[in-house]
Amino acid sequence: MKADAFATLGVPLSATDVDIRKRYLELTVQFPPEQHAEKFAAMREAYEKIRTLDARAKYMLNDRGKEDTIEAILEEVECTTPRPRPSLSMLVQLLHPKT
Amino acid sequence: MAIKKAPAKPATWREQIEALLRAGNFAEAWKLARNNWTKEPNAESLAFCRTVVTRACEHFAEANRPTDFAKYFELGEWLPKGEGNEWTIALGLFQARAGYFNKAKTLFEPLNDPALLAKAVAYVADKTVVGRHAGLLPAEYHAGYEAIIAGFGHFHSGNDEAARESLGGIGLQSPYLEWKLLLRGLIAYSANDDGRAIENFARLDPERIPSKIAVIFRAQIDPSFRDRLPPEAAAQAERKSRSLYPAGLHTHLKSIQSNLGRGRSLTAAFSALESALPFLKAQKPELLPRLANCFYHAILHQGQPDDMKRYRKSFGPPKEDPQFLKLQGTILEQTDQLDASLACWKGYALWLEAPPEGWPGDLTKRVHARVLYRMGNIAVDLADWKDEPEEDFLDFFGQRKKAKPKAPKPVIDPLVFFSSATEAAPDWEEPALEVFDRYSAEGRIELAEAAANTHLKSNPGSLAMLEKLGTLYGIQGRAEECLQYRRKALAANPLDKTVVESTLRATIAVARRLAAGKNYVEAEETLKQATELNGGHPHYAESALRAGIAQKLGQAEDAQRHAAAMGDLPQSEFLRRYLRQIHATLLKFKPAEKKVAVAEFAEALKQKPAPISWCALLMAMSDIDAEGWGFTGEAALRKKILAAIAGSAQPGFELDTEGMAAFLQEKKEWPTLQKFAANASKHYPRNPLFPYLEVVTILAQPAKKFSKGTLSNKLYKAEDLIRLMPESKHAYLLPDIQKMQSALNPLRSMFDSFFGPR
Repeated sequence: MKADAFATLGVPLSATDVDIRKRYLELTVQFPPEQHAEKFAAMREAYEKIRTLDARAKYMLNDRGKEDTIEAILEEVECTTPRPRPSLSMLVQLLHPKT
Repeated sequence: MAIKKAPAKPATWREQIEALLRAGNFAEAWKLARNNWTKEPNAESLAFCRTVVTRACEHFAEANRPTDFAKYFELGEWLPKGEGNEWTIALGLFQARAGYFNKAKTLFEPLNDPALLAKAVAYVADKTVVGRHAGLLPAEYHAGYEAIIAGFGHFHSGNDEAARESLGGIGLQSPYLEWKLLLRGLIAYSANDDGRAIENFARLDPERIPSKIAVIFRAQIDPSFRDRLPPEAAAQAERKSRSLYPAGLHTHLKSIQSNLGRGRSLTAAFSALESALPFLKAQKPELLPRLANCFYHAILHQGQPDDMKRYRKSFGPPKEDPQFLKLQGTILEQTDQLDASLACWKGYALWLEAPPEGWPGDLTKRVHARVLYRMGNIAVDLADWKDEPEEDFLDFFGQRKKAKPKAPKPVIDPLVFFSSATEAAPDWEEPALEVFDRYSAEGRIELAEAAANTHLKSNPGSLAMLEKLGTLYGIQGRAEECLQYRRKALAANPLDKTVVESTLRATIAVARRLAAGKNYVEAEETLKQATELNGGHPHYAESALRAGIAQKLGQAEDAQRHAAAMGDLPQSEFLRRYLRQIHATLLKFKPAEKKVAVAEFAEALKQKPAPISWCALLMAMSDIDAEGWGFTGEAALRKKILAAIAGSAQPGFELDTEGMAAFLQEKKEWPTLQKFAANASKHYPRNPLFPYLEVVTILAQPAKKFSKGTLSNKLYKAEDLIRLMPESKHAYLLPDIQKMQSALNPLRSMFDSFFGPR
């Protein structure tokens, strides 16, 4: 899932190039690509977006918030809402909705 | 006249029965099958009766309709059983599916097949769970039943541990094993352990009821499984799964999603948002800013002015664009309302001047600089747009009386915005380069130099700026300063071949200046550096200059040796003669020697050099131009060379001829290229580049008169030649050709857009 680049790396808006690089390297050690391919790709993408002052300015002006699509929000809601625990009767009802 | 339709061919009884079964009309299907069997009591008609009974029993057992099931089962019993056991087995399994264990057992016992009996037990076990009726099976199976019921009860109340414990007594031989697997899968599913859930669901027997329940859950977590389902079944699984969630936030978000499609009004999406907001605020307030972003970008793509009011009502002002100035600036820019866009961006730039809450100073400054740079680019577009005269589409023949031109609106100087951007971000390259280019183009060299040096103070490694400044100094004839900046660029980028080459040329230029000033020893020393830059080998321009210096010093043998070092290819001789004539002037050869040099080059020009020789000469000429000499006779020599090039196209050298044309285009030698391309078109009639270039050159010369029709036809010819050749290497010209066609022939383009291209 794509999210705000600063939030993905867990750095504040005031982070410098050095801070961002340091944090990115920490995260790559914590989530190596071999074991966390998806998370690593998201971190890499976020890092590219904010790694320099110029990139950050471009991101702030043109791209920040674009990640927040309704699909991403729905996915988040689905991920954070506990999955149902249907009773046996509910399951049987699903099988024979008319009865 | 009405045409009589041929009467439809009557369907056969077989087809009619199939159709009735598909429609679920078992009563009619049975009637037809039975009648048919009564009339023709053969194996085929009996098989059809059995099919009807089978399908009806399966359907009613599945739909939990015991009365209907019993009716069709009785019909099945009434049918003759035939020689084999096939029908008996089928009937027994129907009984088991309907929960009649004893009846199934009675039918199976004579067959003496324990596997069949086990199957019957399993089917009845499903029925006990679905109908909550343990008594359908003998008492020995009741413990398994109780365990399953208890397990599901614990699972529903969230006690997974107790659920697992309940399942402990169900072994591999139990008819309730399938229910155990389903429950284990569901426990994993609700704990978001999708891997384990899929593993359990995948082990289920597709003939049994637990598998049919598991489909609903597995389809949500196993994309490959979902893809294998028929679309209708996948949609049904999705619907059933959704029905397990309480109505609320998810439903409202789905409704927003369905109304946020591109190209649709946002009114419905905002209505759905109104219903969603109370749920969102209560359940997921942290998602509010994200949904606000989502709507902000939706307005950008598909919004109406009223949507900004709706947005404010729902979310309040956007945190990073409280007056919607950035949003409006972007929309207006996209719709070519440049004046209005500029005004919005100006407002946004003003808002940025007081740092927005939470934004660090350096980031705010750089964003501010970016906005100013963007404003500069809009001002450039605005100036271009205002320069273009309005096209009179109805003036087919140029006969309409011209309206009095309106007084042009004052144009905003883009330089103001670019300069402000450099002040806001002195180390940012893009606006600094713009400022430099604009001052250079206007001939305000000191200001260009100042802009470059200011930028280099903050960004000393800026390769683009170092290169640009070096080039400017070169053209100005300030060879030493040019070399100084080339060297700085090289120090920052020692492996960049282009930078090495430009430093090499700058070094030779300095040596040439020194030799022209009679500082021959220093010139020789400088040339040694050029050799070093060229990997230890003398560059041809270096050898030519050494030859020139030796001749000037009366060292004929050395001069010959250096000239020979330029190589023995045909183009080497051509270059040798060209550079000797240049050096004869620059190094001030004796008049007799200069006369010989001039005559030799004139002779070489007459010998119709091959295109590759011309390419080499054009490059050498470009180097001399870049050194900014402005010597006497330079213009005449150039004119002579270009005149020779204009008529130099010859057959058999298509690639080199294209190379020459590209060089002339890059150097914007329009009149020469026009003649050259026209000539080349004759020699290479199937090459689309040359007719294309003929048009490009004519349009590039503002004073040139032309017929729109002739140019348009040349472009059509180029286009046809490209389209005739599959995967033509000239296909990249097509967008440009179409753009020029539109400019030449707007009405035609309108027709093409309506009725398709020619």
